[in-house]
Amino acid sequence: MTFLNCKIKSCTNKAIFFKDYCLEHTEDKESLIKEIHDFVNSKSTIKGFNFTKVPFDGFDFSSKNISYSIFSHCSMKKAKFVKTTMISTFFDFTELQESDFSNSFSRFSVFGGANLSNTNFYEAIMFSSNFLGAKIENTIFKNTDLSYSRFIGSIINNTSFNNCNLKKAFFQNSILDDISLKTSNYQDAILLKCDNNKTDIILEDYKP
Amino acid sequence: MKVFTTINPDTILNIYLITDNEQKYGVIIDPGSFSLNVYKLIQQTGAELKKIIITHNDIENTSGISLIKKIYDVEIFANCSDIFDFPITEISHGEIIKEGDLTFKILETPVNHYDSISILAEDTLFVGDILQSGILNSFRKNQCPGDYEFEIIQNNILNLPDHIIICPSKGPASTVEIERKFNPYFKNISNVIQ
Repeated sequence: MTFLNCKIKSCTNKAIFFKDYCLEHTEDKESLIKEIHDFVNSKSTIKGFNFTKVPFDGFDFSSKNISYSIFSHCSMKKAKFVKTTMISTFFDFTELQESDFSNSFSRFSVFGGANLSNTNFYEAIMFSSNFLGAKIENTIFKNTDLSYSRFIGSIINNTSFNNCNLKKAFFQNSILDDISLKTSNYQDAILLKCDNNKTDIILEDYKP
Repeated sequence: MKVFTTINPDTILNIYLITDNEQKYGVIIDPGSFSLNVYKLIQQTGAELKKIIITHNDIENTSGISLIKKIYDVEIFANCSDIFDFPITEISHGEIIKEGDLTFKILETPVNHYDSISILAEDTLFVGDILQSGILNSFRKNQCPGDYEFEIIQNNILNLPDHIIICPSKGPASTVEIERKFNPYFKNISNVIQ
């Protein structure tokens, strides 16, 4: 995970994908984005790359192995991560609309500040994931392992957590509006100071 | 620099192995009880373990040191003088630990323990127990951090660039930007400090 600094002296960003500059300071952005897309398409393993702010709309990452890579502030509308393995992968502040993470396997991945809507996490393992401040709406978590994940300060709207493993999942100062927790072990989750409305199970703040 | 993360199955603490890009040598942060999966991780990388850095002297972080010392010839660094009578290289604020191409800058962050340090290695900050994603620990019994603790965090962590990755002992990784914007403890920081 060694990322060099952008060569523009006043810039604090990291250089992107084998280059000397960040995306903002790259002259020919279009050809760089095309080069990155071709590279990602051709590889089954993606390890230790910085793709900050690169658009990946409609991209198919299915069955790839992604680790220690940065997809921060990206646009990933309709991106597919079916059966993708993700270790310490950063999607913070990324737009993930109509994306599909079904049957994926993730550990230590970061979705903090991301915008997830109409996204599917069916049968995914999302162990110890960071959803701090994420906006999650119309999203399906079904048979999903969310153990040790953090949803602190997240806004969750019209989303189902059906039959999910919520062991030590941490919800604090979260807004839970119209969510379903059917057959999930929400008793093993930590719920503190949450604002819940139209939830199918009456949640009480408690400290285990 | 490469960062490998695994979990101690006994304590659910994160264990970090940092190696050079060629995975020739490595440094471990808070080895915990040195469970079998940590040993296997080191073997898989092929790196020779050279150093151990302890973020604070707690049995959860240090209990495996005697076992590690039997297997590897390692130097131990901590912000205290004594861990199980092993020779310790004491480190303090601003010091740099070097191992080949790897550099680790020490930041004293006595938030929940008097000897707590954070370790900045390139773009990654290892914070030990002081901070978890969305949570700030404290000296205080009620776990509610005070002005002194906020000031340490402000000066050493929140002043870092947004993209710096935070690796805590417990829970998922984070970034400075995420913590600054969404950690409920830091929303009050401007009121407390300024």
